[in-house]
Order: sequence, then structure tokens, then C-alpha cells
Amino acid sequence: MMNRKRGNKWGMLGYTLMVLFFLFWTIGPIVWSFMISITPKTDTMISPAPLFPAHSTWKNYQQLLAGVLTPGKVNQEARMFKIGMTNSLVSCLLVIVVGSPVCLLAAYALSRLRFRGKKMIHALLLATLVIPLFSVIVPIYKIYSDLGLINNYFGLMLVYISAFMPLTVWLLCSHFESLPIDLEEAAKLDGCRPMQILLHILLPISYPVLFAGALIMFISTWNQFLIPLILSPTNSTKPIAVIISEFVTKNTVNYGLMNAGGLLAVIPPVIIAIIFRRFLISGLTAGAIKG
Amino acid sequence: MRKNKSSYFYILPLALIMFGLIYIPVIITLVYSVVNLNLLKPAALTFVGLKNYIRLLKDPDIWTAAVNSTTITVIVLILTVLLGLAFALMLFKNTRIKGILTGLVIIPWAMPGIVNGIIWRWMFHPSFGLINSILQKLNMIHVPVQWFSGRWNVLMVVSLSVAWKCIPLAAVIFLAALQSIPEELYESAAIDGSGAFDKLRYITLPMLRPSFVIVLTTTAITAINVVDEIVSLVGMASANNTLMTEIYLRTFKYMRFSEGSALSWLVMIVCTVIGVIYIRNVNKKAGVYDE
Repeated sequence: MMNRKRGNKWGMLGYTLMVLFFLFWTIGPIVWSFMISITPKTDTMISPAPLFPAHSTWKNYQQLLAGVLTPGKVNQEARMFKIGMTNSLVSCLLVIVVGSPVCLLAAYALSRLRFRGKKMIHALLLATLVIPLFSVIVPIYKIYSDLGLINNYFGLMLVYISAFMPLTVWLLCSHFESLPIDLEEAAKLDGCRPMQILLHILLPISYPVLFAGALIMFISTWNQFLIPLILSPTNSTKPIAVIISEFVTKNTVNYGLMNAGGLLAVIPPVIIAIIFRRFLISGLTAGAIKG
Repeated sequence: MRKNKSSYFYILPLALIMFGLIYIPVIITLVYSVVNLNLLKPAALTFVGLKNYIRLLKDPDIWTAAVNSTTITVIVLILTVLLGLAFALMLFKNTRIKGILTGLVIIPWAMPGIVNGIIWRWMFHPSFGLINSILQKLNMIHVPVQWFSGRWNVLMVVSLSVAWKCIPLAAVIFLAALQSIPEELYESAAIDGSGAFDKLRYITLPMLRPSFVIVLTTTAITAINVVDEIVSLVGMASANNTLMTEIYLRTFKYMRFSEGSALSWLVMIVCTVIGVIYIRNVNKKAGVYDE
């Protein structure tokens, strides 16, 4: 009994230390970035940096959100920031709206229907995971310039969907395969067509999984950088990640603004991830573990 | 279920996207890699065979980049497995703060790589970075460490920021595997008088084996493909190029498309080897479930 109690005490200590390290590792860098974003420009010249800024200012946030939250003169940074956030949001919604049905139909076919080439499609879909972006992007760029799809939401969306398809399709496949087939067999005997089975039997019990897939697509689209860097050279479709990278290269002096911009840009995906963490975690594990 | 022509309707959207945006471009890239592509004279294509590949393999810059990529991958793998497992064990423990910790663990995964790079840049900034500030306050160093000068320093900082983003996925995969271990195994071990370490060594780790391989392979592919973090941490044109930044610079800056294409195929072959290990283990795991 004594022994066990001592073990628990050490266990508690180890757990506490682990939690402290975890907090420092996971949110320490974000908190530090926030500190810099509220430090006045003159104070960022103090070295070594104080752990807490002596003065704080919201000037960087006000500058980036000018004309959005507060009425004020719209500066170049605020204009670019707003363009980037809007473009990212449009891309995310498009990917979800088009990508979800594409993946749903494919997952249904791969787990319930029989057709020639099914095994091959399955294997090829899995194999796309090892193909680096650079092995496809130059031909895509060339085809897109011929078709006028550079700077185009539709073209961008198709490339994103091609990148997220494997995970979303597996997620739905492993969900479908976990469902009993009896109900569908009965429906088929009653003369239901495959589309009716999908829409009236499978879809109503698949919303949570479909939602998890949509969340993963939203966050992954929001975080894209290299694809839009190449396919979205102008402001009409340029997402926030590319705009932020331009803040980094152009505003090398204004550290606070760079950090404020970066932190504002992560708010949508991070808030979504925290609120819907259960859906996300179950989706991510199912997508990775069950191929 | 009888084979039905209409089954193709369900798989068609996915197949079109997959072939149009992945497999056809990959083949075109392979063609680019064995010709002498000159964008100024697109008609003057000449077949050069493996010349591009041979030139790349003889180029010392490529070998430096390969060593850099390997270094980043190895450090990221070690950190991701160790911390991913540690965080999973932490989240597995039923405490009052479990819900909050689960929400926090996923945050780095949900952030754009570009912002991730910015945040770590300020952790390690020589004058205003948190790391140097802490080290100086603890009197461990007297002169700020120049984290961004010197090849190995830069590689270490890049690896840390990439590991930061990879750990959440590893942690949730390990957590799911921990939750699937039957409680009875631990109970019978406790009856036999096994301690906490024995349980970890003889039950937990062997039961986690399949998820180890999944974490290792998916993380390795992510680490090889990393670009975003490098762009915002040190910039693309630095001396610390990886294979990916070499491809980007050769293709989009120096316009040597054939060389970039050849290099991307070399990287793809390496990723394929990793991918085969992944797929085999995913199937093995699926086999265990089926029994």
C-alpha cells in the first residue's frame, strides 16, 4: 500500500512536469509571438528581450484591421490583409462544397460497388501520397496557362482537392466499411437504386464523418502556401499565407506587424480546430491508420 | 452485387481529377526530365536521355542539399516519435485538464507552415528571441547565440519548427492506439505484479508497433517535402538549401525546368520507398482488425 502511494506521488510529479513542458512547447512560441506583436517598435530593440514587454500597444493589430473593425484610413497592409483573408475563405468553402461530393461518391463506389479497375484506382489513390508537389506543378502550370486557369479559384480548387482526396476518401471508406450492410441489401431488394441507397440510407448516418473530412479540408486549404505561390501570382486569388510571407520578406524591420499578421491569420483554422477537436482527431486518426 | 456500367459515374469525378492533375502531370514531368526544355525555344526539344540525372548526381550542391534534407528528416523523426509518444501518454491519463490539453495539442497542426516559421524565428532570434533571453537570464550564456548563422544551427531551428507541426498528428495517432489496447492486458499484468515500466516495455510499446511505422513514414514524407517553414525562417535563397528548395530555385528562379523535373523524380523515388513501407504496415494493421 505504501509503495503504491509513493508510486502515485512520483507519477503525479512526472505528469505535472510533462504538462508544464507540453504547455511551454506547444503554446510558448505562440505566446512569445503575441508578446512581440504588442511590443512598441522602439522596445523591440532591447536586447536581451524582457520576458514581458514594459509597454504594450495594439497599434499593429489596428493597422492590419483598419477599415474592418475600426473606421480609419485603409493602409496598404490592411488592404492586402483583407484581400488575403477573403481569398482564403472563398478557396476553403469552394474546396468543401466541391470536394465533399466528389469524395463521397468515390468512397461509396470503392467500398460498395463493383467495377473493373477498382483495385487499380484504390492503389493509385494511395500512391498519390508519395508524389511531391514539384513532380506535378510545372505541367499543371503549363496546362493552366493554356486554359486560362492561372489566378482562378476553380483551377486552384481542383489542385487542392487532388491533394486532399486520399485522406478524405479513406476516411469515408473506413466509415462505410464499419457499417452493417443488411439495411442496404434490404433496400436493394425493395428496388432502391445505388444513388437512393447512398442519399437516403448512408448519407444520413455519415454526416459526422463527412463533417470531419470537411474540417480537415478547410484547415488544409487555409494553410496552403506553395501551390498558390505558383498558381496565384496576383491579388485576385492570392491567399493569406502568401500575403503573410510577403510581409516577412518586405517588412523585415517591422517585427511587431509581422507577428500580428501571422497570429491574425491563424485565428480561423485554430478556432475551428479547438471547437471541433473531437471530430478532427477521430478523422485524422481514421484517415492515417486505416488505409 | 453485379457489375454495372453506372458504377463508373461515381468514381469518374475522382478519376478525372486524379489522372488530370496528378498522373498525367507526373508523366509529363518525366518527359521534361529526359529532354532539354528551353522555354525561349519550345520547339527545339532535344532528347538528352539521363544526362540531366547524371549532371545532378555529380553536382556537389545536390549532395549538400541531400545531407541537409536527411538531417532535418532525422531530427524531426526523433523529436516527433519521442514527444508524440510522451504527449499521447499524457493525454491518455484521465485528469480534469484532459479536455483542455486535447484541445491545445492539435493547435500547431492547424497553423499554416508560413506562420509556424515566423513564430519560431522569434523564438530563436539572436537579439529578441525568447531562447537567448532565457539563457542570458539564467547566466548560461553571456553573448547571444547566433542561431541563424552556420549550417547546423539553421538546420536545427528548421527541424524544431517542422517537428512542432508534425507532433500533433503523431500524438493523436499514438493516443488512438493506446485507447485500443485492451484493459485486461494491464489488469493481468498488475495481478502478476508488473510495475509501470514493465507495462510500458512489454505491453504498451509492442502494441503500439504498427502506429510507430505509420508515424515514422508519414512524418518522413512531410519532413522531406517541407518548404513553407524554410521560406519564413531563413528564406529560399539561403545557403541551407534542402532538396525541395533546390528544386524550387532551379525550376522557378533559374528556369532550368528539365533539371528541376529530374530532381523531383529522384525525390519521388525516395518517397516511394518510404510509402511502400507505410502501405504494407497499413494493410498489416487492417489485417489485425479483420481477425
